[in-house]
Amino acid sequence: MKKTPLNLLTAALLATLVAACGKPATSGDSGQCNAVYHWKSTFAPDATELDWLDRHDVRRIYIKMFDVAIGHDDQKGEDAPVPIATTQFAAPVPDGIEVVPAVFITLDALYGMGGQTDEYAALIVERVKAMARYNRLGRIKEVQFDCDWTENSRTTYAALCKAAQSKLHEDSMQLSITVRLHQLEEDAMPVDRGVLMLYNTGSFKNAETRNSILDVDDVKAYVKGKMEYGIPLDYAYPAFGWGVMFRDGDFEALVSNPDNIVLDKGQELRRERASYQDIMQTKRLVEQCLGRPARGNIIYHLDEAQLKHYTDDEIDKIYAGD
Amino acid sequence: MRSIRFTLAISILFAVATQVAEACGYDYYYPRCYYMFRVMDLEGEPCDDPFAYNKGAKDNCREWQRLAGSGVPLEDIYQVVYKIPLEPFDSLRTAKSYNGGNRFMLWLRADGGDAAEFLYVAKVNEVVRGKYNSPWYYPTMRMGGPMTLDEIVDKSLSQSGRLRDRWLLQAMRAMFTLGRYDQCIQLWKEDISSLPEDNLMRRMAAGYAAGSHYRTGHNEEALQLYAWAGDAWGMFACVDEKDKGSFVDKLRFVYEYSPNNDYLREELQRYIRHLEPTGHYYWGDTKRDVPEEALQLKSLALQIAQDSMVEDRAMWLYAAAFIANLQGNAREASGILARAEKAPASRVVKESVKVMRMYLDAKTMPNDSRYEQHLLAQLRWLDAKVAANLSQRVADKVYNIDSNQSFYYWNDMMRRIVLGEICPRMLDAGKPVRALQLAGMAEFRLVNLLERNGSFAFPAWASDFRWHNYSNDFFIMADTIDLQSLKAYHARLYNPTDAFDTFTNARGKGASYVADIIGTRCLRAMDYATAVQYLGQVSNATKAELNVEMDRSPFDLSNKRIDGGKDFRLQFAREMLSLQQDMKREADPDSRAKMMVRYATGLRNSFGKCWELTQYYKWTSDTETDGLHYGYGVFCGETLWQVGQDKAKALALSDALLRLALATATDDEWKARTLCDFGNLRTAAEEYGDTDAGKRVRSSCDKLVDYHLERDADLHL
Repeated sequence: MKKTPLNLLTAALLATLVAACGKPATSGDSGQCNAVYHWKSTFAPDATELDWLDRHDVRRIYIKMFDVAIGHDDQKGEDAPVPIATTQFAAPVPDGIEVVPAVFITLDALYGMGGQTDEYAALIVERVKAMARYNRLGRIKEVQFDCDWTENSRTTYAALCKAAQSKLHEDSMQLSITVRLHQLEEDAMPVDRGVLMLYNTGSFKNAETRNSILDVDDVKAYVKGKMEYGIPLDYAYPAFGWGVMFRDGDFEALVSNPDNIVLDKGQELRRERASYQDIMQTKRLVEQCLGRPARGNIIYHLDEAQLKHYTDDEIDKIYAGD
Repeated sequence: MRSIRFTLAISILFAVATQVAEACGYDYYYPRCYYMFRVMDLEGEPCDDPFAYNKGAKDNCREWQRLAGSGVPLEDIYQVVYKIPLEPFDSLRTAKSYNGGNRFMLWLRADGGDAAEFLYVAKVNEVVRGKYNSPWYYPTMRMGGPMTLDEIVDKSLSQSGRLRDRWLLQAMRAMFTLGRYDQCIQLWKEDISSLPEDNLMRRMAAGYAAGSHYRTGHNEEALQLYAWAGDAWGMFACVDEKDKGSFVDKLRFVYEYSPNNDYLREELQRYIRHLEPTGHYYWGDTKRDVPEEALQLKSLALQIAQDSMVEDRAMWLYAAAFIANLQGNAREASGILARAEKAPASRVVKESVKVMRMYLDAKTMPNDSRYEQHLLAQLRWLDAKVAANLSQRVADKVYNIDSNQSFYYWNDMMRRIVLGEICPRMLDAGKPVRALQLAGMAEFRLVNLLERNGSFAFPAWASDFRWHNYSNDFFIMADTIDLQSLKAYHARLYNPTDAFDTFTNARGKGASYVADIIGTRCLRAMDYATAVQYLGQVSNATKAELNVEMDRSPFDLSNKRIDGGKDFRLQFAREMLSLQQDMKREADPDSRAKMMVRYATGLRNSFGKCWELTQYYKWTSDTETDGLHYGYGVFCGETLWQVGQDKAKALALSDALLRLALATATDDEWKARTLCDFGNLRTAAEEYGDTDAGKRVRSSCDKLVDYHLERDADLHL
């Protein structure tokens, strides 16, 4: 078929119709792009970070907006799910970058929402929208929930997601969620899309753990053979490291800058970092089993102090589609 | 409030005392445990009055009542203004008809259209402000109300008419929530501060104006306004943390800016109540050290009491006197209180000063006839207060009187002073009749008043069982004091000798009730002639209220159940008296012996299975002879119940009579049967083995040891 303007228009209309009949998530209006998480209390990327975003053509940032945790609600006069740790925006989001507001929901808060998920979904969505308006985050096409839900809290989380998704769809927005490796074994939540977290794969508190940030063997336990999941998935890879401090074999603390630590007697430090090789090995495994990411890969997270441990070439290869 | 202490008391009681008593009820702690310090009109327990803890709401409802008319109850106004949420209120005000009975709502719909519109906007304001103040709020968040705060501000500022001051307050609230502090200050200066000094809306708006000053860095202006508005917490916010200092420093700070601030009264109430002794549960007085801070408070109170700007100077002198008394300086306290009696005072403080005067006089005045006259006048005043402040709430809680729980200030103070201070002094001074008179009044006056009033409902069970009659300090005293004093008291009930007698007689329980106690004690003392005399005076009403009944025959050794009837004590006394007389007259030895056995059986049973004849309560322990306390919290201290000694005497007499009966009778068969009836099988078998009864014992016991082991514990032959 010749690519006449009429044909192109017909193809576009057909694509739109197909998309309209299927899940909004697969319409791909955001398109394939490189993305990064921002998980700090203040959004103020420095020049190096801005340059990094530019060099790697990052077109989407998942910014954690606030946590929902149990705290005292003066209005209700009791402990209830409330927003905490709201991110301050000390700098504008660079032009041309889409923001996906993310909300971390603690398990206790999720339990605290039981029976009132509609009310809390509305509060979360309204607050995210207000933050986006107030901080001029541009047009929001997607909101993401992050929650380490379990079998016991599955029903509540599903109800919360459904209610939030319904609210978001009214404004032509989608709801995505983070998906932890263990959650791959469960049915997918009623949301538009997900991001498979390929980090924090092990227990950092366990002295026997080799690398809690990323251990390919840990990933293999969940990702094997040809797999299908109920929602389109993107993949998030770690680009960070830390130190895990133990005293007499017991976990003591996480240390963000392990190079400056002087150990006491009885203390041990386990230095952990997701190596480029492990990331790439994981990437190959995941794409082999689950297929290519729906929209692209995401790096966790935007912090020059961490990103400097990876070369531009390595970052590009993590992002690369092939 | 004593609920925590009460729970503690109950716990300790069961922990230490389960082996001691099985009474139907007794005092859990001493009457002197009642809190006395009172500078605010508070009852001992939380009440259902919606205004009890919200003076501002009451003032506001009164303002509405001025508009709506005195026929509209405050409670109806309170429901509409404070309780009905926005949406139901909007439905009620706009519905075509209203079938409810709320008279304020009726007025709003008929004559208060502007007020209904105002209340609607005010409720919207509160809803939207609530969202702003929610932890979920974020600037630019959609609030979802029917109006925005900006719209409320605009609407409120455009209003005139009779509700203008109320609209200005709404504008102030909305602007404050929006953070428009400069405009709040401007509104205060230009429109609100010119309202009359006593305007409630001005007072309510002052806090927002003060807050606006504070948030714009004008701390001194904020402090002045908070002080004017009486908001001590706002005042504290205006000074650095380091300047706030101790409790006394805080009082001084507030006093200096706002000498008549309600905070001062509230804090005095809270602090001094906390100082009042709390160690009177079971272990008697435990002296509490008065902390240095309280002494500083006393100095400050004496200083403030000299300030002519202070309206309730008596309150400060009363506080100083109270602390002096807690220090153990009753005479110093009395001197300071004398100054309080002459100082300007609020109604509540005037009353509290009089109560404390009564208390200090009881502690310090010589216990002579002059004091009795003085006391009578004081009692008349306090009694009138008890009578004048009755309510359904008091009736609902009156059962608390048994455990001395605080529930009604005036009666608490009657019991606190009379039972806690005066009665012990009367007993020490050898005036047991006065002690009984006063205790009777303190225990029964309130219950009598409530019952006679007729307009109060009591719990259903209260009428079935007169729980209070035999579980109170008067009863304990009457059942343990020497019998002569009790008889003298009883005589004065019929023949009062002075005004004191007449006053207290009219407020106690009455002669029939006392006659029953005397008669019962006479049964205990085996004085059946006197028992007949007093029990014969017991009315049917008293018998109907008795806390025990008898269901076994006192002259039968078996456990067969009977209906003892309401007259069981009198019938028993009469028969015992008759047996006494018949035994003396009867010539036939066998008949006389039978009378002796019947009498001995009555004696034994009246302390055994028919203990209700001689007692109102039965201890579970069998160690009565050790002399147990009647209960806990008895004001007269180590009051011992003598029933153990009485029982020992009765059993000894019973044994002696039985021996005499066996020696008197000539019929061996009867003797053997009697011994068997009393469980003395061995003697029956050994000494009367040839009788039918003796043979039956021998044949039914396999071995001699069987009847050796039979315990003839009750019969010591």
